[in-house]
Amino acid sequence: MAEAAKAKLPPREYEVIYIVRPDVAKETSERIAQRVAEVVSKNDGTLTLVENWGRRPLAYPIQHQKRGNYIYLTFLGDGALVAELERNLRLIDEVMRFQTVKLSDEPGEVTVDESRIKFEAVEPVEGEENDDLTLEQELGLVANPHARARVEMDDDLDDGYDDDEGDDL
Amino acid sequence: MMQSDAVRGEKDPFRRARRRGCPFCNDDAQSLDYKDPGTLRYFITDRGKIVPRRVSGLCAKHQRALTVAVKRARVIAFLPFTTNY
Repeated sequence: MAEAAKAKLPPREYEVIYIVRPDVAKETSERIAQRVAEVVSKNDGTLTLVENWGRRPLAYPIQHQKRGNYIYLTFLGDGALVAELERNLRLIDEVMRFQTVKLSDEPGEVTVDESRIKFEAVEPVEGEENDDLTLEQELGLVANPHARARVEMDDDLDDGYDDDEGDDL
Repeated sequence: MMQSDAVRGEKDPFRRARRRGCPFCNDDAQSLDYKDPGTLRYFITDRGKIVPRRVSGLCAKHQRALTVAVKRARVIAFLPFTTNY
């Protein structure tokens, strides 16, 4: 009876973003994408979109990395699939971070376009670009070093232990 | 006598024109999405804190949505938790 009720539930729509280490080879990220797709299909899910957002700067370092390859995907499935997918993502060492968000409980008719769920890996880039910028500058939190200096002066009013931050990054 | 000439807000000219509606209520096309750090950055301080309602000018509904969006964006490293790195 419980089984019958469970089977009737319509699939839900989820989106997942996972961040792969920026230094992994193209084949590795393809293998990860393939494994993710397998997990989704084995658990009666339907991939609807896979996007590679490429290398992006991280707002804060994760596993000592300043950048990460962002992969975005949406799929239809149930909670068990999400649990299994997250378990798999945890097991893959190259995945630094992931987050699942439910988009809707009852998605309408979804068409699956093969070209949209094809994963396209990006080549790892040797070395880091923009290393002369601080993290705040890369993120656009401060426009230039002069603006940053002014902000720090203001901050000194409420706490005294942030003097060593920032500029030497 | 209080209400004679003192139309609301006239005492302090800087107070006027401050009350704007919630930008997300006025514009249906715009929405708060954790995948859009450019918009969210407008609602956090230099130190990465979420701006309070009295400053952001958002309605309660959209301030709640903003809070969720910023927190999700932090987890996926689109926004910083703090600037002490």
